[in-house]
Amino acid sequence: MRRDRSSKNRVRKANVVLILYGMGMAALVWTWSDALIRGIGAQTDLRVRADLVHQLELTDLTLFTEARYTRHLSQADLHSAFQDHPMALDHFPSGSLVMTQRGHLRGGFRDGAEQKEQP
Amino acid sequence: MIALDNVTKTFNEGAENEFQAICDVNLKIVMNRVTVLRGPSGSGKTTLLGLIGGLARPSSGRIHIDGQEVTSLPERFLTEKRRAVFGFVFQNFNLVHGLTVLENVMLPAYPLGKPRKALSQAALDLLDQLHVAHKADNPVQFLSGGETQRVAIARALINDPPILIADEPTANLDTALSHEFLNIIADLRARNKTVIMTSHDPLVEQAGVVDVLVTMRDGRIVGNL
Amino acid sequence: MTIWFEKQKYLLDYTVSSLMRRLAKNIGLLMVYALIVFILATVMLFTHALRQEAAVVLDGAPEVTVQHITMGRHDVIPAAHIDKLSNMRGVRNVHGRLWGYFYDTANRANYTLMVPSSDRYGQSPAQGEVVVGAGVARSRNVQVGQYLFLLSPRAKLFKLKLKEILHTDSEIVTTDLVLVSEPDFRTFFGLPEGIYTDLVLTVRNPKEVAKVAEKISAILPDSRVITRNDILRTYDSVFDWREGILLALLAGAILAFVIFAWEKASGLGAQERREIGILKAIGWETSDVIKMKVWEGGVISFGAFTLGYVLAYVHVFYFSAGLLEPVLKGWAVLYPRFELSPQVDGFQVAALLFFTVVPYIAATLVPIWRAAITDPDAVMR
Repeated sequence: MRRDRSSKNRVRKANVVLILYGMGMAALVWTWSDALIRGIGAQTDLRVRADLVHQLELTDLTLFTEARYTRHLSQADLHSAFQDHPMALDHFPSGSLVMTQRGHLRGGFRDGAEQKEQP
Repeated sequence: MIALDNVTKTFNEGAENEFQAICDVNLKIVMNRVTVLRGPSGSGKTTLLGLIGGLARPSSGRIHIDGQEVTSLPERFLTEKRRAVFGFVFQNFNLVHGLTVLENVMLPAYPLGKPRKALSQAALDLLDQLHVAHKADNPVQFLSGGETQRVAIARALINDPPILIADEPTANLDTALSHEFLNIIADLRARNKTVIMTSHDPLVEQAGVVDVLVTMRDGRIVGNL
Repeated sequence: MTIWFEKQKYLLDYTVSSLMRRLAKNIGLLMVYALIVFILATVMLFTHALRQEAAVVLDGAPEVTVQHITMGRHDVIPAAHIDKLSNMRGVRNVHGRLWGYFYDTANRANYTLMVPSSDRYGQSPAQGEVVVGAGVARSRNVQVGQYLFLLSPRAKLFKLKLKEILHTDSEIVTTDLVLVSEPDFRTFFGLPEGIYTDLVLTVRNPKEVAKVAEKISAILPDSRVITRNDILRTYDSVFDWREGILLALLAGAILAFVIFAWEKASGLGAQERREIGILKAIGWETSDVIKMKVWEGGVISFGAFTLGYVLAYVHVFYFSAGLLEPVLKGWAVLYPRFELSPQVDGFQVAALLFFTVVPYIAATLVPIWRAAITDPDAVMR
């Protein structure tokens, strides 16, 4: 008994996977192009925020408003409980994402940029 | 022609359980004939079959296929040779579960990269000749014993090899299916295929399809008719 | 080329059939792996974008800020220091800043009360008026023209008319702000004249900021000097790995991967070994078996990477990393609504791709290697 297969729709597994992965690749390319396009478009908003920071003389973002140092990350107290060292943030969740400048451990001034010690 | 010269096969060489399965075998397999290797269990039939088909390499001795020595061929070339010359039907058929009948039949041809439409048509034609084409899209685990055997034969023939190798092909079949199988063998012989089988089933010898009977015992050939 | 391509498709056919034999398990594996990639990519994309945002936005932060330190703690600074610093060479302008934290018990939110410099900010509130950030307006449910009531630390109730709400586009820097006039600020906190929270300086030559800052440290030894570089470097230093969140993430990711790899490595049973033997017996070369396994590892790992990364991108840049909010917010009531400008560090993405795909493929290949190179006869026995 011969069965005519030529007209039967037999989906090839490799084709399904290749199509799916083609879509995945397209999505990856989309993220790259989206970042490019929106990044350019966001410049205006960034400038607005930068201008406000300049006008109001702000020093920090407002992402971490729960801790003692609230949002002035650069201006934490020197000593506090639950710290690793004087300039570290407390063990709040946000401390795991952003760290303070360690250059201030030594006495005297240390700029955030690399500085040679003054004799 | 396939020629074996002083072929020996030793397993676990150097170990405590070292075992010589084949000892100093000299054999010439004639083309377009049905050759049966017979003998009791442990006589080395399956090992010899594996050596003939290039599934294993001898510990010593030489094997020639159509005048070309294959004993020391690099793996890649040996595989190419095996694929082009031999088709295998294993004792347990060894179809791959999870694939359909059609996919199992096409499997040996995958490495050749032939166009899929042509390949699947060739596979369907083979299944048709063996009267199992209606099962082409079925998973192989749901086939009957006879259907499984025929699919295994179709798989062995997909690359159109001149030689079919079958290891104890009737061991797991009833009488009726065994006769069916032997009819297929007769048909292949009529189409100038060479068949090499192992068997200790008396039915095979009595069927009238066997041209050459090679008797083995304890790893040696003791009779060649 | 066609033959090669067709052959790869055949290997992929076989791979997919093989994966589909244990479909639920393999889909579960893919999902969990994608989840790990999602978490790592979310944190990676978020912190990178945050760094870039801070770098651009905080470029307008004060060049030098001087704080007074008493017994190791930040203290208010006397106005007399302004004169000392004004006479320093290289300093263009010195003035005092008035700002402070205020904890609103009614809403359990921290606000930053500030007096904007009228020279710089055109919308400075007059006495009795207030300008607030969008987060404050939301939490207190006030609109322009309505009154904001604040109970000062001295238990005095302040009634301030809302003059303006700072734009929501600027929430990431302004959401907690409460801008008031100087008289209102001093009365609110009980801060007498002649005292400021800290001082800010502008320097004539930006290249001399560090030099000026050093001099200030010498002139005012009881002060702390913070430059704009400090602020920017703070945001550069992300991923304090010792902290719990990131360590938990990394440990979880590594543990999950070890479990995958172990499962793969211990997964080569007799069945799989036999199958490789069959493939070799019917005409597959060792390289074909290995390529097939590479496809198998690649399908899962690349699929996990693509799914995890794309979802992470959408999560961070279209949903403002909402799932990270509980981590970032802590117990804070105010959290800005913001959209980070998409910034992608190609190197980081490539590293994530590499570490997602390569080890997994290796873990898939290693256990089958020996079976793949063994004679089919031996494998099938």
